[in-house]
Amino acid sequence: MNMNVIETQSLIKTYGSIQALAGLNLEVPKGSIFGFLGPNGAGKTTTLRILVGLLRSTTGRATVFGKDVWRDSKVICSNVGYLPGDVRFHDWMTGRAYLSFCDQARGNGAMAEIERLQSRFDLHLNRRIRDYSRGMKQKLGLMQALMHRPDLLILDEPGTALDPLVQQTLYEELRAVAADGRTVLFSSHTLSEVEQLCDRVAIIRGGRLIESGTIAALRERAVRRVEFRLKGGDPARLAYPEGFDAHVGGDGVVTATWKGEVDRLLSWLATVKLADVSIGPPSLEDLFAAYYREDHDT
Amino acid sequence: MNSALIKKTFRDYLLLTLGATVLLMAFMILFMFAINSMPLEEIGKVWLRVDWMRRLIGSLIGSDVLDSVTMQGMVSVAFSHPLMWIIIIAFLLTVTSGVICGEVDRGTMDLLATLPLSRTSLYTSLTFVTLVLGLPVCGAVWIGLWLGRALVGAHEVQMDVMAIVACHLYAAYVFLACFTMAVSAVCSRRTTALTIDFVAIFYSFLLNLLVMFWSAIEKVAFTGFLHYYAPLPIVRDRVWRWGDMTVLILCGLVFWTAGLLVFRRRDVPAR
Repeated sequence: MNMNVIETQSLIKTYGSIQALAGLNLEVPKGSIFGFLGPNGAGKTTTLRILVGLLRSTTGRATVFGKDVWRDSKVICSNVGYLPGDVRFHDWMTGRAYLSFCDQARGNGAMAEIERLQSRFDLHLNRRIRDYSRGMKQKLGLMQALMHRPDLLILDEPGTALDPLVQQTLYEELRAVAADGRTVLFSSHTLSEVEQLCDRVAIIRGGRLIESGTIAALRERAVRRVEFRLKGGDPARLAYPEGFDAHVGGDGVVTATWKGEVDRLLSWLATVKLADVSIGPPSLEDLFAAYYREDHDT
Repeated sequence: MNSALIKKTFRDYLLLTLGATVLLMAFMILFMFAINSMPLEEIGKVWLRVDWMRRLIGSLIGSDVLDSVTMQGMVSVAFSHPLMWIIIIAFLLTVTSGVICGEVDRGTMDLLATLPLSRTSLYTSLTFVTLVLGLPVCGAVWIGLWLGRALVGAHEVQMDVMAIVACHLYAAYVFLACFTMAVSAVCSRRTTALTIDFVAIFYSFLLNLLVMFWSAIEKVAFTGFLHYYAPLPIVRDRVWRWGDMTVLILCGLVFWTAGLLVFRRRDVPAR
């Protein structure tokens, strides 16, 4: 039985001469919280919009719940909660009227969940949306995505404009969704958010998937920050091992990144006379920054 | 069709519809007062003297005004008056450009199009609302006339004949609604849709006017929708012009279907 809620194969999307997606292959397993990362213009939003049927792929195949995202978008959308990156509402409506409209359009039955989410997100639903702040609009967007308890949530940068307390509430809600066996796919630029929440991540660049896996697996591939000072001697003259990217500061402190097994690093450090040393945990931030930089360089 | 979307769209345009309805009724009442205050023979003499004005009005009502210099004939002018058209067209363009390309332009289509509604259902529901809202708007012209007739005591105006004209007006409304919905379904920017609508409608008015001054234009006159809306012949002959109404509704249906086909296949771009 296929346990992937989302699958894309060789997905290509072009806008005129611009290729937004260049053969994207993506698999999102059921019940996971899946982080979708990439620099600006990498194709994250285009992918999410194809998955909810707003855009039609040029070629390739995309399925949600095993159904074609374009042909069966009505059926798919009945069980998907979607939050766009730049969420917009009919500003003349009140928050309650808007959610009530969404509920009616979906066939009713979400009022109890709306009340629960209102107390969780602490949003005044009787005010007109035009009087809402950006953060309040984001909360309303999250509520409309969550209110019908869909099996799949597709969220484009959900943490945007939320204060840290509301972000924690959002994380709790998303963890509860995953604990329920439902799936969350979200794009983000905030690595702490991804590290806190996700089981799996995918990194997209130039419309292609360049990395995908569990957070633990990525962490193994990540570099460690190493900092040391010698008891004597010139650090510039040391023979550094392969994988050791060192920079000697004016104060004699060597700051470096290490990519490889820790044993090998410790063995090499044992051969050096150290006054002080610190080895940090593997940093996903550095790993992602490296991917992003490569994009910049290319 | 989706009842929640229909109810919401009705609510969204309720005030606008009320405003257009009141304006049209007020216009018709004032028009009746104006017509009633002028002797018909004097109006006929003015039209004989000022030929261009006679032709201009003839282009709007679909026949020479001197064919029927009666109170009933004068009233048919109101059913083609530029002010009446301005109110109806402004109302219609506000609604049709607002419901599809307006939603895309504002960015609200993202959430609307990801509700479990098919594109066909979305398009059909919004068209249904536009067509239903046209009933009070076109009806207001007739009701305003009825009120004006009662207020000035112009009982020679036969309201049953004017009801036929109002039905023809609604057929023209249906054509315009279908055409402008199709344009709205194709465009992503409201200003683009409004420009296309305006150019197409202006073309029809211009064609209708030029025909009165330049006979060569008659060959292409059939391409403007006003060619199929002629109040004076209806009033004069007391007949339903089924052919004209059929052309208006069928052409509207063709545009509407083309709009649906494009809307079902098109992308909804991010704002």
